[in-house]
Amino acid sequence: MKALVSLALLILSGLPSVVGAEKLTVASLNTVLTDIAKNVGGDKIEITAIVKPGVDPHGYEPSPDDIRKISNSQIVLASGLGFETYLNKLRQSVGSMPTFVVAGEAVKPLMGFEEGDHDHGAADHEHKDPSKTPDPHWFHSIRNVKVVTNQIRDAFSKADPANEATYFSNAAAYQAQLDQLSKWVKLELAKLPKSARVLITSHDALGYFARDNGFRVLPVAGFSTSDQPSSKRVAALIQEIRDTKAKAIFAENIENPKILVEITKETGTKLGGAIYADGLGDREANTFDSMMRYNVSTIVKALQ
Amino acid sequence: MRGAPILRLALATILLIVAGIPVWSLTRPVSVPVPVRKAPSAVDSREVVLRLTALPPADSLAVFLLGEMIPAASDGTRTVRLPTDAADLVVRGTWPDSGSACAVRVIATQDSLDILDATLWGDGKIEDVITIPPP
Repeated sequence: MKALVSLALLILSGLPSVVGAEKLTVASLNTVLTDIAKNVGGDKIEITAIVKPGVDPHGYEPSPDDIRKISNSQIVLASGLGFETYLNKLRQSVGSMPTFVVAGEAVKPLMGFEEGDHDHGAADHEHKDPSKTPDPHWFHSIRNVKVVTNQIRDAFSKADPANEATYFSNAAAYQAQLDQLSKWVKLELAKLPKSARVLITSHDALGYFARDNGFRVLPVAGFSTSDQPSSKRVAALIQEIRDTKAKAIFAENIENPKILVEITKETGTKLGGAIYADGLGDREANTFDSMMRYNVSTIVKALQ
Repeated sequence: MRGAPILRLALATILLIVAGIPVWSLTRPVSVPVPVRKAPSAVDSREVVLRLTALPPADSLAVFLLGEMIPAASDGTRTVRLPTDAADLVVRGTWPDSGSACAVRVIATQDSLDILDATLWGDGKIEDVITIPPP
C-alpha cells in the first residue's frame, strides 16, 4: 500500500511539468507584433502584451512592473525605428537575459521629415530634427508584416528549437492568410480612381500603406501623435487640401479630432471616420487582419 | 415752391427714384451661371485595348473599371478610356472545373504599343487586380 501511495505521489509531483510543458516566454511592446507572435507561436508561447490595444504607443513609458515582466521573458518584441523612445534605456535596464527582436531591423524603412522641416522661407522657422527620420509605422504594409512574420518565426525557432516545425508551419499558414488579405485590399482599393487616393490624417502614420497602394498622404502632424503642427503648417495643409480636392479627412481611434474638425470647416471636406493608425484596437480591429480590413473599408467608403 | 407741398413731394420722389436706379442695378439679384463640370477630354484620357486569353477556356470572363463592366467586342477585345495616370482594373473569371488550375493572360495596348502583359492564376476562379501603367 505504501509503495502504491509513493508511486501515486511521484506521478502527481511530475504532472505539472508535463501538463504545463515549458513555454517560450515572450513580451511584446507593440500590438501588431503581439498578434503576429500569437499566430506564429500558437500554444507553444506565453505572451505578455506590455502595450495594450487602444493605448497611444507614442506616449507610453514602461512601469516598474512592466520592466519586471520584460526581464523575465526570453524574447522581447519591439518595433524600433524610434517608435519606442525608451527602447535603449530598457535594453540597458533589463540586462542580457531577454533577446530583443526588433521589427525595424528586418524591414526597409521609409524615410521622411518631421514636422518643422517644411517652411524654410521664414527666418524664425524651427526644426525639431533637421535630419531624415525613419517612419516607425511599418505595420501598415502587409509586405512588411510578412517579413516580420518570418523574423519572429526564426527568433522563436532559435530560442525553442524543439518546436521549430510548429513555428514554421504556423508562419506558413499566417503568410497564406496575409496573401488573402493583400488580394482583398487590392480589390477594395480598385473601387477608387488613382486621383482620389489622397489621405489626410492627423499624424503621419500611413506612409507605408500609401507607398504600397498608390496614395498620397497629407498629414497634419509628424510621425508622433505628440507632434504639434505649427499654424503655418495647418495653413499650408488647408491650401493643399483645396488644391487636391480631397474628399475626406481621417481621424484616429486614440486622438481628439478637434484640429481636423477645424480643417473640415475651413475646406468644406467631410470627416471620413476614424482609422487605426498606431496599432490594434480592442473591438473591430483587434487583429492585424481586422485592423487592415477596417481601415481600408473606412477609406474606400469615404473617398468613393 | 414753399407754398406747394404736393409739388415738393413729387419732386423729392422723382429725385429718390433717379438716385435709386444705380443702387438697384448694382444690388439686383443676377442669375449666376452654374459652373459646368468639364467632361474628360481626349487630352485627359487615353484609349487602351485589352486582349484576354483564358486557359483552359473560361465559362465567364469580365473586366471592370471602378465597378463598371467593360463590354467585349465581337473579336473579344475590350476597349476602355482610362485617365492618363495609372488605373486599376478588376479581372473576374470562372472555369467549369472549380478545383483545377486556370490562368488568364491580359495584354494592354495603347497606340499600337503593348504597355502591360500580365498573367493571373487561380483554381477554377480568378478575381484579381491589374494596374495599367501611365503611358
